[in-house]
Amino acid sequence: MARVVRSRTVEFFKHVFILLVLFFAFVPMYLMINISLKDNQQFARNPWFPEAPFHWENYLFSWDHLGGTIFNTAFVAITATVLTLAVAIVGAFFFARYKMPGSKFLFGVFIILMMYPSVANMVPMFKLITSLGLYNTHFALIIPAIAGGQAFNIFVLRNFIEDIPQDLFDAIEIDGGNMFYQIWHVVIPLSMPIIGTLGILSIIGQWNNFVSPLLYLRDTNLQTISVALLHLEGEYTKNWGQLMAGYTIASIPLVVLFIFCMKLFIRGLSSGAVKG
Amino acid sequence: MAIEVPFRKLRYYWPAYLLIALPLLLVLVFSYHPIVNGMWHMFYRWDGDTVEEFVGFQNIVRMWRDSSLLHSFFVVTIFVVANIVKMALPIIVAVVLHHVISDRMGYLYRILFVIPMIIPGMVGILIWKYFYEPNSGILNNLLRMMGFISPTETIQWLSDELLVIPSLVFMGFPWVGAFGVLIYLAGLQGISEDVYEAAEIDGAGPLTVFFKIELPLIMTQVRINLILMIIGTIQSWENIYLFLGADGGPGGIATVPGLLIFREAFARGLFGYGCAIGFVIFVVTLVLTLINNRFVRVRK
Repeated sequence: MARVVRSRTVEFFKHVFILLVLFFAFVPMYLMINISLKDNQQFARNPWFPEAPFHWENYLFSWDHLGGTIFNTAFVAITATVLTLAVAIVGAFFFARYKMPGSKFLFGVFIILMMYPSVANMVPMFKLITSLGLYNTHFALIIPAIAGGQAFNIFVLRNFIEDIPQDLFDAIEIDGGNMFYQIWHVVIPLSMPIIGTLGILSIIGQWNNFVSPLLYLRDTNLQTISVALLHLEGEYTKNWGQLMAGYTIASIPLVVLFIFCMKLFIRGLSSGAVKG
Repeated sequence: MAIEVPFRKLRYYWPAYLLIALPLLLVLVFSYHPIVNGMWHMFYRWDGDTVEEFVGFQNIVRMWRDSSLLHSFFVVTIFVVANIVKMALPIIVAVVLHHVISDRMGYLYRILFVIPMIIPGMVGILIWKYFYEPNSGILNNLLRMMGFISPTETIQWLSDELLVIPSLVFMGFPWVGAFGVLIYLAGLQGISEDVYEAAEIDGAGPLTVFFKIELPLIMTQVRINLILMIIGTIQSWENIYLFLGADGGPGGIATVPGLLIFREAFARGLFGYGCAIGFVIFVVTLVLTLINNRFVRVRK
């Protein structure tokens, strides 16, 4: 850490600046939770501060409308993430371990897609989904997510796998382990921190995905959380407490995920087979 | 280290290609096929269903005459420029955090910056939509409380033509995603103590240190964020849709290219035209990426 010694006043203003930015960063979250416990009268009188009685039933109301969609979203997000990573790890393993004729070209085929704006594909993608018979199924969200995630995940994972010491692979080859054995017993355990990070990014991406469910899903019972939140706002309620309770419910799974994955990060970072 | 496989050894090593078969198949079907299909159909009158008729350059001519297309690119340019300006704040926050002397406080602040980011982006947008709500929204409420507007007055943040775009730009204040801050911070922590000592001996002030040492050393991260931000901004239309609906605000004033594709293709059934607009977005992104690669150099 940098240690340029400065006066106490300067140090004080640094803290003030950071706290000010933090204050504004916390406002949306604070107001969301605060208002989620109010009824409309309390909200009109005093939206700023918590005030008894707390209306926990707002959460029950919103859960009725959102509960099912949360399970849908979790199913889509987890399936898409696991499959994306499974496919990408094998692909990245290929690029990291083998310099075959055409490797560079094939790598380019993936990497160039990172620069392609997927919004430009909106119409042909919709057509593809409908003609494959995926319209109005969860596959319409999962399969394009797996395909779309390959470029970025292969790119990141390849760099990581390249750094794994050759000795480990040699040891397994002597033991007669094949490629998949190498992936399962060397690559995946050693890449756990980066796999965890990529997994979180993917799940967040799916949780926020609004366009695909809007375009590809018709039935309400299949709908995912983002579109359901918009409907909650537009159709079901004008009660701010219920709305904010809905937003809070939609945020909780990601909060849980974060708490869970902090551990994974630390465990992944502290484990390592060959040091130095 | 990778295994070099020359052509003559391909006989033994060809099964390795099987590793790449599945990801390759996926991107060919779900990325390249739609790309080619879209470029093909931009020369068609197409409703995505029964009507499919080659019309030559009709869609291109139509784009040329479509003032709303030009306007949508103008709007998205405003957002890109605004987002470039907004990138300054996370950099400043990271630098200040880096200079906080107490390690304990520095660590605590870092955790605190991550917490608001846990809220899904989608929810963040909806909360801001509520902030802008004219009657009971928090912004007008605040202005009434502080006496800037009378208790009965309402400012129509999202339906006044003059206010819509500024409101969208201001959304998400203070614009510090924890990812940005933490990435910059990681870059700053790579700067060795010696560099700072040398700077101090030379009598460099904080601003000199920032512009001559810190900024150049995190330029890699800034550049990556810049590229990702530009591609992301050009693509995004869902935030506009969530805020203003498919119309894009009063008179469609905040319509961005993505929203225009959505409207033309899915509301009016002009799939071919949607493909053509998509192609233009692709070309614009490509040009911007090339410019970015050329001019935003990383100094070592």
